Amino acid sequence: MMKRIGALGFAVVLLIYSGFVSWAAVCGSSNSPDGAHDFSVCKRADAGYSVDKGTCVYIYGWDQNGNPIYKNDCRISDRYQWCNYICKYCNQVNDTQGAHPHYVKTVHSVNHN
Amino acid sequence: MKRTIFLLFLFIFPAALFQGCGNKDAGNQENIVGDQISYGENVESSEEGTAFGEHMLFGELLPEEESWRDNTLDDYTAVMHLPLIPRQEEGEQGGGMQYALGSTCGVLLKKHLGASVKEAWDELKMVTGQGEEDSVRLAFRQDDHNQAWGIGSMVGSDHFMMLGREYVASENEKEGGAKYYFFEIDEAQQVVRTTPLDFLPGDGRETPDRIMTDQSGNIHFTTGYLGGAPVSDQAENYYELVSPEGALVAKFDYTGVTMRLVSLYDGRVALWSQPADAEGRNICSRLECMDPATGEMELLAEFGENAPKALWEADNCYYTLWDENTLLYADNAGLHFADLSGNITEDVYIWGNHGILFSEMVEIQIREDGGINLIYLDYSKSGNFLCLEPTQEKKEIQRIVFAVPPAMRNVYYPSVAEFNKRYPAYHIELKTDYDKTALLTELTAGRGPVLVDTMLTGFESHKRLWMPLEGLFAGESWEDILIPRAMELGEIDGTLYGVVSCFGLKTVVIPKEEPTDWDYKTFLDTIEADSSIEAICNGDNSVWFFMASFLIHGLEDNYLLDNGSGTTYFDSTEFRRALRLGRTYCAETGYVEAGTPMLEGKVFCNIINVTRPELIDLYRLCYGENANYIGFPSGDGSAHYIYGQDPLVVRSTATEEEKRVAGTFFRMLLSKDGQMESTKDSNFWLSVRKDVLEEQINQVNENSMPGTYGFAFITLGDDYDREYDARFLYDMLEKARPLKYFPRELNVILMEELEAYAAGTITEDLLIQRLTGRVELYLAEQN
Repeated sequence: MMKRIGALGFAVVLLIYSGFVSWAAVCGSSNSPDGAHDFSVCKRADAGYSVDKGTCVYIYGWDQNGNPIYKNDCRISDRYQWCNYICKYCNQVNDTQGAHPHYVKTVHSVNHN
Repeated sequence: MKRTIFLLFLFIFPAALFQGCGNKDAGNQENIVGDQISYGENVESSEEGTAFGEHMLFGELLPEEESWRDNTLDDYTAVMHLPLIPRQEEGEQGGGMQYALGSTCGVLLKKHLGASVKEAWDELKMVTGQGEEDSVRLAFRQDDHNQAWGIGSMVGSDHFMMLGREYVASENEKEGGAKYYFFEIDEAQQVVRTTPLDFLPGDGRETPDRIMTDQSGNIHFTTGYLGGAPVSDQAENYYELVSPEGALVAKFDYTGVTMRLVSLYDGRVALWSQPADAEGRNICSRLECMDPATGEMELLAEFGENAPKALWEADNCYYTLWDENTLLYADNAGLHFADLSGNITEDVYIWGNHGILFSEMVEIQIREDGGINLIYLDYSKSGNFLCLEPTQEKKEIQRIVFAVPPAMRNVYYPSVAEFNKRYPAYHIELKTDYDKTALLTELTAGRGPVLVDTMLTGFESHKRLWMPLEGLFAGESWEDILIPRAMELGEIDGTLYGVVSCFGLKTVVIPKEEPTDWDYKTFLDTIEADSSIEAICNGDNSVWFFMASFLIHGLEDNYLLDNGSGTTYFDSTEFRRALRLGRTYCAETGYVEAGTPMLEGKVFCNIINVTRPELIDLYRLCYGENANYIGFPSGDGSAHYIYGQDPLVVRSTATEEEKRVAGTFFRMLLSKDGQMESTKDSNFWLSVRKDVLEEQINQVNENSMPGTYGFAFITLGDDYDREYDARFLYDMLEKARPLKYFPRELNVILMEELEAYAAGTITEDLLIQRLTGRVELYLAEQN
């Protein structure tokens, strides 16, 4: 099903993109096929962060009357890691776009399917 | 025959790969073993296949040992390693799950929820250190009553303590509600004793959660919420101890503190806790043990800021006492011994050496014979039982080094880990600390790593260092499984030298409906006709970048020279026109942003890369649903381009055995599970497998965060459209041509001269004269 492209979403993209900003024209590595930097690789920093998305209440079982029994020991968090774009050939860090958070995964602290 | 080999690897074999290994007698292992048998037959087939000659070099598979065994790289060796996974029931949503350890086994309690309570059932899944495996429908459960609501270990025994819960209706609030009791089951799942917990309130806010019984029979438990209302606020978190007779000995409030119960070396049970500050940051961890005689807590160990972070800051840290002065602790690297300050004194078992994709420790028990039983969760959060014993004798192991750039390590790690688990006689070592010059020196001398990610070295320019991968796909219908256009990116001069596991697509978008097609000339005409623009494209705003991006697609397709005749077109009105446009619109300083400037008419076009399906949504949001992705100009009209992540190659001097390792590893990397694991890393692009690429598209959802250089990360929310993504991607893939460049030497000539021209140090005429001389000399030397 085609989804409507929200005007708000479009505006947000236009507002927040940071664009190509700066890279030295010439990549020093002889691996680069055309001599240009290729900032297509994400280098993950050791640092990251989690965003707590709250408690995940899930059905643990049915009681003897068929009513759901819930548990609330699961917390959902989104894990992010800071990344920098680096040139895949010479490892030069692109220092103009700055570190960006990279979404890694959403974690449920308890495995409950 | 060859077809069978390949299909087994791509379909059947991989299904077992990421499921763990174990004794072939084990129940649930039958499927895995069955695959192993198929694979064993396969080995014979491959030997037969060698009769075909050199074409089977990389088609020959490594022989697999008759039964699984661990390697002996560490001080401890696994004698058993089995997945602890419940039965998969269709249509189930939710359902509790808890693990526990026995002295010789690991168990999992799974509450299967059917459509109604009548269809619900409790499963006890068991695996043992002898490789036996069983799944039991708990017999003491009678229809909807006598359910099990929790399970805990009984240290030093194969009995388990389970939690029972009955709802009692009563008009009297104090008498009604949930009634709890513990019941101990033996090895045959027979109830041997019951301990009522009448002191617990019936509203569910103080329900036993983690349970563990020490060797003296005292039952330790923590509490959480388990009740009929879907509340999301905090439960009352207590640590409580009940005597073997069922009397409450002590109760401590740990509300808001992360807790787990751990067994100690001497059969006691300790409380591990990890308090956090108001922002949720862990501030320390403690190991305390209660004296059942006095009800008082004794601090055994405590770690804070001055200790290794793995012991107190990490969410998944786990430790216990090996003896009174030694910690046994687990982190993401492995199991270690440490002193009571947290300093590692000895590595016990390193996950990476044994193909373990470790995510979290569930429980560890130290056996009286010095062995260690544990349950850990892997990357997919599935439980696994591991039974470790001291390594008796180091067995010979063939080490194969795989040189990768640090950024690509996690792309390959799952397949490397699985290979190492599967083949204990071999060990692929991922090395990420190569100096490029030293690496090339080694390879040139015929030494160095057997497997190389050519991001470190370059690919085509070092063809003589690589071994043709003859036989890797020979005679197979791999085109049904892999995307030929992508796999061909690993070819040099029509011969397969490298394995490409993922790829990207590159194209050009313009802000107008017309034109929809262009060659070099009409591309330049269209720029000339656009009086509103201030720059030609996003990115590096230099004359050289403009020419390299738009007018050069390799020696055979470009606007500057004819490789066949060795002549150049620099001294022509066409080149002078391109040069003039470059000079007009490409300032040597400053960089052009993607997106808005083009949409405002200030930039002629944008170059975009599609390396993940969600990026298509990002571009759709930015440029509009009906944007004109016209493509790059080329000699015969518009073109989209396909390019691979750098191919993996095999050192040209690899031995026969090393070739078998490489061939086997490549198949694992290209298997569905291998590729699916790789997709979890952001540096893995579009899969070369058709089925995995489809999965990647299907995984785009409201949480997707498309990210590429030049655009900030956004979360798609509702603005994703998988149908659009698929249509866009497959359409572009069908049309895409392999991305080609000038040889590096030619590019250097162009860069040097164009930079000098742009800097004003040489005139246009001199530029043309120098380019003509240098480039024609290069072409003459090459031809």
